[in-house]
Amino acid sequence: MVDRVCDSSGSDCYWVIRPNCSLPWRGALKVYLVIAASCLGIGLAFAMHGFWPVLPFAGLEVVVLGAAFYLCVSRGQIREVVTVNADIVTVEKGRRQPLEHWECPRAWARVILEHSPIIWYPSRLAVAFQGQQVEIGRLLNEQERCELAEELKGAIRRNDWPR
Amino acid sequence: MSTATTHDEHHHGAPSGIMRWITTTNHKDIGTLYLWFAFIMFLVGGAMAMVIRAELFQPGLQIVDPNFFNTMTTMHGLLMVFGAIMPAMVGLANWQVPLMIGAPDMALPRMNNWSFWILPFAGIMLVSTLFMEGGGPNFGWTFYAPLSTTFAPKSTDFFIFAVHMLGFSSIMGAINIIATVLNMRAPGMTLMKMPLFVWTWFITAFLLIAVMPVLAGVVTMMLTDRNFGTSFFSAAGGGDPVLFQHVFWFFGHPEVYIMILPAFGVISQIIPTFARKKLFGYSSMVYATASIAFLSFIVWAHHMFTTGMPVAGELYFMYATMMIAVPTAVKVFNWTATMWRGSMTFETPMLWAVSFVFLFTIGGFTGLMMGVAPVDMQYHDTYFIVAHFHYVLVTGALFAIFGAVYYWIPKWTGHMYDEKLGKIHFWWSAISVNVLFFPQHFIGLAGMPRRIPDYSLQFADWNMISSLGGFAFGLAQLFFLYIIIKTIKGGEKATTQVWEDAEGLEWTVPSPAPYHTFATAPEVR
Repeated sequence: MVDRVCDSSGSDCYWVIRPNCSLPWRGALKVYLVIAASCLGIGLAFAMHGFWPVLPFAGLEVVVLGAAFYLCVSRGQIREVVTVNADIVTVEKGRRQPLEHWECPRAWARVILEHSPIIWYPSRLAVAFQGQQVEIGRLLNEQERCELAEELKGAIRRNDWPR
Repeated sequence: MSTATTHDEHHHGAPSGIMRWITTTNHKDIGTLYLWFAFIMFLVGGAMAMVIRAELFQPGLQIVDPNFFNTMTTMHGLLMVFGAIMPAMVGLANWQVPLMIGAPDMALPRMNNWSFWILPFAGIMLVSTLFMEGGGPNFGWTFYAPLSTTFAPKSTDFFIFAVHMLGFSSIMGAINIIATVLNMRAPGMTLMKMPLFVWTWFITAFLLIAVMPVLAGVVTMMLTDRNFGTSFFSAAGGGDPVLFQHVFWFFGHPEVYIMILPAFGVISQIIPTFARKKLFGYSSMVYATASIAFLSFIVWAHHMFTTGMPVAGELYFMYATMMIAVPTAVKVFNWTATMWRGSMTFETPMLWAVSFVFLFTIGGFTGLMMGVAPVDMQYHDTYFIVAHFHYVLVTGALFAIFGAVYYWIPKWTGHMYDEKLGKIHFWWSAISVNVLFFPQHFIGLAGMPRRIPDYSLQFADWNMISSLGGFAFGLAQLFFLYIIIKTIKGGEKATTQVWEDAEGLEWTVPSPAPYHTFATAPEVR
């Protein structure tokens, strides 16, 4: 999914690219708490009747489930931010904060959209400058990737930037 | 902050060689592995059933000694439950859940690989107990204490370890399914738009997560009672063997639903396709599944009416058990209503589905009979019970698995199976399974106990008929293996849609499904 944000004059824009995640982290937390409470509740009930060995297994399971949920939710928080202004194109990737940063002069930047020779496989979108390129939009579906490519091409090629 | 990576490699095809299967994280590969593992275990467990039926062909001790007979009944049950039915359902889930919700793979693919590869080692360890001093486990698949503690063979410790491994595998599989269904649905695929198969597996995964620690706990207590001087289940040390049964059935009864709920999901996919109608009462199906899952936690002691529980307890568990009939009846009604005035055709998957509805209902009704506490005193531990749970698990769960394989195999292999052979397999199995199990109702009601290698002469005729049905049913499954291999090797090319009125995202990808599907999420409207 792509969110486009521009300033009031419409000159500086950035695009936030995020993965499809059908459950927000608050929802995941609620589901996790319900499951953890049920499992630990069952374990505690057995422990109170003297069958304490059920409880550590329930606890272990809750820990593994928590780790699994954490992994999934944190993957859902991956973001790619592409910024285009009068001078430079910036690509940042990360989760909560930028972890990777790449930039190039706008005048030299190119947007490359390569379609796979195999019809079923996704296309590849990249911003290129001289011999380097950085791939973006792997998290998007085909239509969104093509639309993003068009928008970026338009923004990079425009020649009416306010100075 | 580092500089962004400037190149990404794609590799799209399926890797080759043995390492493909060992290191795979692809949900389709892992689904295939699960299904083959389940089928091998089904044949091994089936061979044990043949030993049982051969011994029971005539009264008297004919072929095996009583201890080995008990080992066969125990191992047959364990392998079929933990080695065949459960892994087959997980295999179906691995193949179908991501395809049905528009996800590129399972949420935790490496854990998925691990979940599977624990299984063969657990299975081998379990089967290896047959060759150990004192023989394999001989106390029944329910491993009641003190049979499994004080009086069990040495190999029981290996059985305990194998059960632990199987449990870990199941838990990881369940966590993966929950994470996948919650996080990886395609945009627009709301929970109430999910296919019923996904829903039933989602609920099953919750059941697994809730009860598997109980199984792990109970076998650990067995282990410590056997080897470390504890007395959880030993009256001599202040423990209570009856409490073993409470703990076991708190796991064991939901376990029954773990095996049957995904089967309900399969049938809910097949019937609308071949009735050419939308599933009747989709939301009531979802709520009925959830109700059955909830009720499965509060009825466990109906397996224990003869242990001498208070009358109040018997009444509670009797009525609670009866309540399960209500959501189950909702399901049977909805399947029937879906077929009502539909443009029905009877391709092989539909034959399995219709027979499931009919024969599973027989199993359900006998279950209802056993839920009546006063009369269960008569049925308890007789062949009536054996007949009941085989109607539920063979003509229920197993028939649904057969239906699922015929329904989805064109999508998996890209080839249509041979319809004529598929129908022969169906009729051969459907007739022989009734010859096998229906007479067991009669001998059970007449009083023949289960788990005995010899019996009174009065039960001879029906036992002989049952054994003949058993041999025929066993042979039919070798024929099934032939059909599967023939389909994998070739056959009519399957289209993308496969079945003209099938609905769902899995029917939008080519047949066979490419190694990677839904690399970008489809839009569901």
